[in-house]
Amino acid sequence: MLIPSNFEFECPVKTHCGDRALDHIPFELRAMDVAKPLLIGDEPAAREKRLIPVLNACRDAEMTLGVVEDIPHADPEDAVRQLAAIYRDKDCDAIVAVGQGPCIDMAKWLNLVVSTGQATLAPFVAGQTIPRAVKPLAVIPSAAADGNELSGYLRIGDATVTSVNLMPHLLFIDPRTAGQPSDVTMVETALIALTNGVETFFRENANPMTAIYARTAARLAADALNQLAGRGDRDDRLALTVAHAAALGGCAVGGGPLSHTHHLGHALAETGKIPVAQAMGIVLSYALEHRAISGVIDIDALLGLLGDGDRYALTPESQRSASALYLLRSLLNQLFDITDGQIRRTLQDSGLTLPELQDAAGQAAEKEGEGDPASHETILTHAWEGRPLR
Amino acid sequence: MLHMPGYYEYCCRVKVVAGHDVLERIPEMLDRVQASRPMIVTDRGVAGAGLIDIVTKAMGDKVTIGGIEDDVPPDSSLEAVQRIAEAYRKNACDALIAVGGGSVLDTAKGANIMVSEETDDLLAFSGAGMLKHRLKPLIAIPTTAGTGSETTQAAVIKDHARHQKMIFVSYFLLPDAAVLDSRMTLTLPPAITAATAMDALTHAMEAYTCLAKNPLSDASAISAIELIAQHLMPVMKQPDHREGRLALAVAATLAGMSFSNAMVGMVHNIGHATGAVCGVPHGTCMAILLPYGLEYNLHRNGHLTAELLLPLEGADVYARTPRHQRAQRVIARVREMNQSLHDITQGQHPRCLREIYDRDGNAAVPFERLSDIAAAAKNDGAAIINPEDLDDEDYRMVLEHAWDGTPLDRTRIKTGS
Repeated sequence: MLIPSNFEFECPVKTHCGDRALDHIPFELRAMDVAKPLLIGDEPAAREKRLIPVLNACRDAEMTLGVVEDIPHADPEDAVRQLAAIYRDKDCDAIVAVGQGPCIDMAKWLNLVVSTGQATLAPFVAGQTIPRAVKPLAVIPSAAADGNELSGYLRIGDATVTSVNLMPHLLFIDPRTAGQPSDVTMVETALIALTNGVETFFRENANPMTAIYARTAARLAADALNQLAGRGDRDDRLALTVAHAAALGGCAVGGGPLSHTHHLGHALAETGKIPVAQAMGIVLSYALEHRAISGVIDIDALLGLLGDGDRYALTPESQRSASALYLLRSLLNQLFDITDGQIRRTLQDSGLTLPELQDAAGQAAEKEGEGDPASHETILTHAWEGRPLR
Repeated sequence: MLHMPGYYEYCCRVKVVAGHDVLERIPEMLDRVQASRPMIVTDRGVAGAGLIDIVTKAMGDKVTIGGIEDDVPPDSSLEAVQRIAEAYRKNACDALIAVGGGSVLDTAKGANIMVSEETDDLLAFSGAGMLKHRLKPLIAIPTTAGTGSETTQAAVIKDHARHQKMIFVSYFLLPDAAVLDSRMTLTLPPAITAATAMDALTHAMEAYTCLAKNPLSDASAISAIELIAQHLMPVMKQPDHREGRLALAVAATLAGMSFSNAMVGMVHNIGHATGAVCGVPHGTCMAILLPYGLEYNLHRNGHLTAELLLPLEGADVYARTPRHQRAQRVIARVREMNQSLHDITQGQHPRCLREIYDRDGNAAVPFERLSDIAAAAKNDGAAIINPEDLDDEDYRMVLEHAWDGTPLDRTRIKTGS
């Protein structure tokens, strides 16, 4: 294991995972000097009654809270303004968010508004430092996630802000709130978790502390995807595993830079022909292979991230990278079969055209700042055909 | 499949800044928390070794040092805490920098409670969750690569006058940052380097193999073991190996993250007792007792111990060792490490309890004291997390073997239901 000569690691998240995890909410909030949190949820969470166990836990512990069952479906600026008004009117001092991507983004933004008094994101997008002393934020995600719930990444429309200080402080993953989304949704969540875990593990200046979250997220995601692909028995806690993987993948990303695969996935999804998670899942193996061939990274350890020690150690060293890439691609093939093509194996399966790939490569390079459109195009072309780079 | 408990918690909120020249970043870290006049807390050994000079020189004139308190005793005491808190107030300081090991950090945490809560009654804040507010900024700079105390949310302060031990547990006690700089351990003597690294190895191995493990503590432990396995012997042979020193410091912090979230077992249980009864350094006890703890629990967690062969010896050894022999190989490897450390330090790193000597050259753990150690071990909390129970006879049996340096007779281990 290589250690960079200089690195930083910070993860403010305390993880609670498993049976009755939600029951710990009042204790944990009080330990952070919270008296009255504002509980917010999104439409799926409200429909599936995922706020109820949180309310019960707080009621049993005699903790009062403000509640917004479903965040306002208004223009985001209006919505956050309404939420901030409720937060202040009800004299709240922390936020508990139950839901996925946009709801958690809204919770992070709300936290910025009530902690700094800044009503818009613009100053932060322009580089204003996000203070460390924001209000406590607890997140309760499900198995339908965008993978950034626990990261320091906040996206509202086209505006994005990244800071470790945006990361939630408390994470609760409980079977009661993991939900029971469709297999396709769980595959997509697990693919994002896998991408976040693997890309963070191999990112430039990766360090052994970030690797704690990256390694665990990748292993959990791989376990879940194997089950969803019909490899072995299905665990009755599969949704919990998927939610867990996605949350830890977000912790791994933290306040760090987003990966090439992330940017490419979002650029491809802009076409409206492929969900971002599936785009990332397809691109991942080709992006890793490209960087390995270019000598940027050594992906020998990838096989260890995807399975147990036996598989890694018993595979000859010279074959580990190829074997891991094959594993990723064969997994997508199997998921394609088992979902009747709802999970794509290649970008071609989505009906994307080659000019669209070129546009996506350019867009991603532009977002990255220093990205190389030619490299991106090579990666996307191979991902389109489903053909290894060598 | 990953080992997944029914429920677990994991937290390490400490910001870690690691590298060969990261002390220079302390002014920037203080600035981030709006502090400009820190008090440095340390002990005489650290100051005498010139480490405070390195720290202050690295900070340059960007920070005004509010004071240097370099008289922290080996066991953090209420008296030291009160003295430091008084000096902090008198010198109008606004942050603490703890440079040293566990007792220095605990003392700084105790003083931080007093100055932040504006109290002289430290006892009022003892226990779990009694602190409700963020304390003054605290930066931890470990000077050994072993204890991992920079990652813990606890502090233990002794009130010698009342013969009382005060324990404080709160997330607010976590340092704001842990600064791991290779210069802080570069001159660590070989025997201490060996003992502290084996202490960290024990944290990681016990966390991985005992009952409160979880996937994140496991990942922390695996990385720690891999780093120690790769870097300890090279550092022992070339003490000024900067990369190796940094790797061991990072490993110790990783091991700290692991055990502070998964607890430890009988090695710590017996080690604490041995330290308390005979005054033996903690790391030395850990090094000697680690193979015995793994061996004693083999019938319970042998499959987990076997998994440690991969980070400990690498893929080749793992692949060519039959599955049923991997756990035994891990135990054998730990004993080999102790033997190598014994050889490199010319006997200063003891392989068994009877080889530990005090400063006057007398046996530090006389055979006659084993019963006292066994009695003390019975009352140590770490036994709760151990996979197999131990009674008086078991403690005594393990201690006798560890005293003599002979492997356990596994037929004498009573396997509980």
